[in-house]
Amino acid sequence: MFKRCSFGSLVLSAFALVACGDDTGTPSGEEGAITFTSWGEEYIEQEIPADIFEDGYSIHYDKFLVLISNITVADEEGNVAASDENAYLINHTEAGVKEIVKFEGLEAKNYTLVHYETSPAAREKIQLVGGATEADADMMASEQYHVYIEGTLSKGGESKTFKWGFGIPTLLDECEGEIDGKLTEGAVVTSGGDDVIELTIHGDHFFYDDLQSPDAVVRGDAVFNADADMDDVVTQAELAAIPLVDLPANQYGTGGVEGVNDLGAFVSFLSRTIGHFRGEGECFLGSPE
Amino acid sequence: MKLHQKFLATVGSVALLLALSSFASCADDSETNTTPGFRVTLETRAELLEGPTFTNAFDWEITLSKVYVSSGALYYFDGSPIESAALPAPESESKLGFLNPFAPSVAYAHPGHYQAGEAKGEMLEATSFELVAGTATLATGEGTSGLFRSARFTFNSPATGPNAGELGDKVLVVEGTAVKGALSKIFRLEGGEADVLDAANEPAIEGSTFDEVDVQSDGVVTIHFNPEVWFDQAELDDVVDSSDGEPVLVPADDRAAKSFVRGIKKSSAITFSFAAD
Amino acid sequence: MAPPAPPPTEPAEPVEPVTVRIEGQKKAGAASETVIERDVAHAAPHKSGSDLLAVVPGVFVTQHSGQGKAHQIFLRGFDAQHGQDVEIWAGGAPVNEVSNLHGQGYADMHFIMPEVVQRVRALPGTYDVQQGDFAVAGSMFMDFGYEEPGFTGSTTIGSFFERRMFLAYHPESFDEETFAAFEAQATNGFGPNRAARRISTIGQLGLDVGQDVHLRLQASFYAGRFDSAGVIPLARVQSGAIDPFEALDPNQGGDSMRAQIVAEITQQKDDESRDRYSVAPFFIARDLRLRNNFTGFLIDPVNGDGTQQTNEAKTFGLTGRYARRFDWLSPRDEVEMGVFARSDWVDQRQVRLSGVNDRVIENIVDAQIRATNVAGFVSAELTAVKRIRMKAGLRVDGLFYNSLDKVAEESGAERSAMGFHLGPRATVDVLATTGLNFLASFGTGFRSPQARSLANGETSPFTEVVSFEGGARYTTGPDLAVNVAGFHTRLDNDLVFDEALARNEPVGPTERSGFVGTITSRPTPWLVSQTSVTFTHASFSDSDADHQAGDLLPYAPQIVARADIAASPKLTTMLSRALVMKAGLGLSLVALRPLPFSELGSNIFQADATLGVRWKEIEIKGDFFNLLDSRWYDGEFTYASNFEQGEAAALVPQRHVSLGNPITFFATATAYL
Repeated sequence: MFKRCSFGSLVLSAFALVACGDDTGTPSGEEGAITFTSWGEEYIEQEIPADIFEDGYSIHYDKFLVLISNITVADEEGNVAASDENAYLINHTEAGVKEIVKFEGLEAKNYTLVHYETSPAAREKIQLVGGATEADADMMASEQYHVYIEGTLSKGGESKTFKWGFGIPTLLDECEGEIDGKLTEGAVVTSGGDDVIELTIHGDHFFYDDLQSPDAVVRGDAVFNADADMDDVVTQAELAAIPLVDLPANQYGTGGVEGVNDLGAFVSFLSRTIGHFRGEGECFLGSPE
Repeated sequence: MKLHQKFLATVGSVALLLALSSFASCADDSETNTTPGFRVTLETRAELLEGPTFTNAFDWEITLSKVYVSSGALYYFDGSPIESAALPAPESESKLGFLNPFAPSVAYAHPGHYQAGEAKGEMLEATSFELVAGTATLATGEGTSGLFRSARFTFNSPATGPNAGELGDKVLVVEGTAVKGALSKIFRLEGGEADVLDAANEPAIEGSTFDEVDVQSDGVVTIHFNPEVWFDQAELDDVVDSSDGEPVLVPADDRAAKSFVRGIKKSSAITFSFAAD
Repeated sequence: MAPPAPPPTEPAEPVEPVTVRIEGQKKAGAASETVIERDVAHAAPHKSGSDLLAVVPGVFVTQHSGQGKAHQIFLRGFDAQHGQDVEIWAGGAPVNEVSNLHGQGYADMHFIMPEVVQRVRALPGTYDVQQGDFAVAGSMFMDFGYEEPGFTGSTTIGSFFERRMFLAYHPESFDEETFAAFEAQATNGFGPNRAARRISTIGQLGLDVGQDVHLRLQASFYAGRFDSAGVIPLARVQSGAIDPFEALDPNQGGDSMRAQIVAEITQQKDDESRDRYSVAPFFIARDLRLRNNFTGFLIDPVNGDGTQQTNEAKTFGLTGRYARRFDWLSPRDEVEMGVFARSDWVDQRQVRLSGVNDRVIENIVDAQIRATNVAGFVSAELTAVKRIRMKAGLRVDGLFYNSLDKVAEESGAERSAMGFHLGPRATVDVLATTGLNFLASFGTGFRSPQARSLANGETSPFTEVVSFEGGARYTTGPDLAVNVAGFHTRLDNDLVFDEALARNEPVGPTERSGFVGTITSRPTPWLVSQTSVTFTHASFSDSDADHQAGDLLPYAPQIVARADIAASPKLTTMLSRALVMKAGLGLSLVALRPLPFSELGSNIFQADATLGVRWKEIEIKGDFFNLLDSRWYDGEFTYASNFEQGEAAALVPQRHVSLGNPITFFATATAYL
């Protein structure tokens, strides 16, 4: 009798247990980590070679300072699993991938909503990473830059230098990139694993010749020739003095971007687009709240 | 069960199937549950965003007398257009450095990564129209319910429709007067198909703003043309004066013509909106 | 007078023991479980083994890309695509292909000749521990057999230059399990670009080895080549711009090959036996090439959107089961344990081809997949007070996937994922009175993903399925069986064909509820019928930006009904040979097919019929398909296409259809020797 009752109740309770179970949102108990790094690739560490430029120029960067801040990881419901409000200042001319921050103890699952910013920051929030110095941080904070670059543009034995700073708060939202060939939104945390996400900085973006076209190419002519006083230094003021209308009609298109009518404003807009995700991955461009 | 009962079961079950087929052929479950979304009919209009008179960045007061447009297919998408709101106040002389009232919040960061997303509506019939005389009515299009955020406008060459004669192989012809101080010009500016080709070699303007709306009924899509964008950077000093009061065709190598061509390729010159019936 | 003495009897000859193999049907695992025997399966005419699936209650099959591509299967609110949600076994080997490039679970059944299908066992839901991967809507098990003793040879000719030859042999002294059959078939198709050919052979041998062991060996080989008319935009058909029979891209079609070998050892069951076991290793080699163009010139206005997919796979596996009887609550109590293993080696490639010169425009996919599924299960069945049968079991599946993507920018991108699924299953069966049983069933299953869709290290690489069912079964024996059941199935993350992207996309949780009723009757030995009606309400379970909870899932029809009736009365006797008439009718109804944007697809009512006479060794018959010659669309899809090169493309998704066959007639002459 006892056996019959216990078996029958076992069957019924199995029904009840599983029928009432909720498969969604139940923690698995497994944990892992996400490590954010940043890298400027060879284009910033070494040079952008002439075969990349449509018109044969090359670029060598002496300094490439970028502020990366407010890295946030959330699941598809928007539940924030980890975030860091610090602003990390990196000089990407220093070789190698730099670790920025590591989030540990995260539940093993997919976190499809990852965003970060390249925005100006107050001095007290700036943390130095890689080759960035205290003086760099002081300068970025006082000028309220989100990116500052120094470099040389060359072609055929001629060179001009530039030192440009830009300060536009920029949100890079809903980032996605490839993991082992598969396009993946955000981060994937596996049990005991560490998803290393590289926030890649593309140094060629400052020289693209269109703000919207998928066929934008890298050019140097217009920037090189903006040196009005011929002192071999191209300033941002000199860029701003070049109306886009004076450039070839099939170059420097602005698409839907409003208020960009000179080369200075054009390059300013491009300064917001240098941040990427896992190499060639993309994020939505926006403004932080 | 007796034999006759088994026959009844056999015949009855088949009869049930036939009855069910008749019922099902008349039944319509669409009043209760349905799949997400539904189709909508979209009438199409075109008009000037503001009046025909405006002042550009070079202080020319421009009054348009004719604006002929040769349009092709129109498409509406749920993807956001490229953002412009966070630009610093430009040092240029543009009068259009204000925040675009239709500025959306997000788009892809990389140059060229305006993502149109899902096609929500379209109007496929090419036509031509003139805008100064008033709102033009284009063919009716169709779409599906949901979020509309951006659009693609295509030009068409050679022109068809009511103003094909005025346009010929041009996609845009604008006539008007421009006054600055003592200077007065009567001009004619033309845009050809080659002037508006995009990267895919199509005469299309990608990523125009569609005033964000959740379409849940039939209605009217209005295309707003903003000639201020076309003329914003036009310096008309070198345009030849008209000797007979007729518009003077501005040569393509003239600075004003070059800035006009740059202007007509800007997707900010054409915006869209929707009004429910 | 004394009665005469009985004649002296001769001493009795020693009697050789005769081995009697009794194959009883397993008790039903769920109220809606059905076993479709040969007489019902062949009541109406069928062109292929895939067509025959339509006899299973709730199943609707369509063929939208040529007579050689796997059918699209709908069952109980599931659009199973080409097999991703219906587990199919034929002759002891799995038919579903793991990570097939065209569709997960791709099940091409064209290698099956309808004549050699002995029975189909349909298990809707996921209530049996033997149901594994792809058993989301349910499972189907086809047994092969041929009952006509001796030689059979038949020739068919018919509409659209249909011609077919069928040969079979079944030794009279063997069970119908032992046979060999051959088929060669060709047709020009009912319209442009619909020609097809296939050849197939199946051989099966059943041998008793020793006293109580039975060996079944089976081998089958198949190849087919077919053209396809593809799908066409409905609006252009309705406006008269194109003919409904037209093929907008004549380069579509493909070819398919299959070889399979199965060896099964079973211990014969008799009433005294406590133990029984079976082991069945199998090997399958598959090769598939498909050329499609569903979108015309939408993606590439110059070269067209034609793609070619190739998928080559080798599958090794085995099933093993062991059952032992115990006398706990009743002498029929039993514990069963089993294992299943399957490894697949798959090479696949997808390229875009120029419609002008077949040049490869783009390499879209070039991948190598290695997949292994190993499962173990145990179940216990107890019968209490002779009326309450309880069966509970647990199945654990381990799935491993490795994919090497050769097209990725850094060629050699390789990733792997592995996960486990725990699947409890249970059924309670109460015998209310003689012939009337009430059953309640529960089970969890899973849907496995395309290997290439997995991220490296994913630990739960599948969709969870939970099924419930309750109903009743009434039978008076083979002459009448009625079953009715209500069911409910939930998925935690479903895939639905997205009309904007023209591919399957995750949509979150979904659910399906409905009921099914089936009546099978054999009022006389010469009359058989089976009628079934299935109603399903399939909907999204939650709300997001694209849908609300309760919105219908598109594509799976809400009503599927089917009737199969056959009469084979003996008319008279001529020259000592019976003259038997054979008449059969198959009626299919598909209604309330939700399509995207609140639309409904067209209803389908089809009638297929057969009429013939058999005079012992000779049979002549005529088969009619679509007897009412109705204009019908078997496939309906909503997505964007542009088949008018140079014209402004329509990007808003529109309805596309594949035309079903018009009235078709086959005449067949058969000789039985």
